[in-house]
Amino acid sequence: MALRRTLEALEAAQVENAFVAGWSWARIAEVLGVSRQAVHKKHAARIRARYPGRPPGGKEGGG
Amino acid sequence: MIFHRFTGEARGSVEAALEEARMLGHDSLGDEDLLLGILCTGEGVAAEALESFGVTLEDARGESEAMLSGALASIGISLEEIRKEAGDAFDLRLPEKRRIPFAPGAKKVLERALARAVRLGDRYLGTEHILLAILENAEGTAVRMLARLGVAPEALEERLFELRGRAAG
Repeated sequence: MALRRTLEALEAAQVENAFVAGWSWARIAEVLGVSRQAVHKKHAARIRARYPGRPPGGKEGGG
Repeated sequence: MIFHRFTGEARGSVEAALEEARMLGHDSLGDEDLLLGILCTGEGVAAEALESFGVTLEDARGESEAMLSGALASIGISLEEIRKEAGDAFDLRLPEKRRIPFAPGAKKVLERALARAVRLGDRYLGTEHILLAILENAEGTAVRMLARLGVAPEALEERLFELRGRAAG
């Protein structure tokens, strides 16, 4: 149970760090091996709440 | 669960336990969280008994975290490394909206607490009954946590009854 929560928190941290580094949702999704929709649904709201005003994704225009 | 016989303090301790579980990233509420909840209330003979053994909320939280990172380390995962690499974005706390279910052990503790209250002839369920039920669960995380803090269940139980006797007399 501890492991599941740790992995979940780790994924969240990695997605957030990638977002801060300017990655697009499409690229983040590719690296995680899931669909762009899946990443967006799981992480976008949390990350946008933490970084208001920042455009979704980077130059590649994903999201 | 039969919450209507709970004292305000006992109810508060369960609510605090849920918050502790959330903050520590426990995806279910375990008996160690119930123990932390009792320490959060800071009142009543249960908290008093724990304090008399020098058990503080901070120590108990620290022990809970140490046990978690120890368990992960035993399967090759270093929380310390993860924290270093992932930075502030790594946050074990559970999101506010997440519902935290009772682990089977914690559910059993509350049932046993009620049984304990009935056997003692008390018309209420207080934090002392919860603590007694926690101590009955020898295999539980809470008892292991207390052992790491240098507290034997028998000694704590004895102290509880002493304090109860004093409060009644």
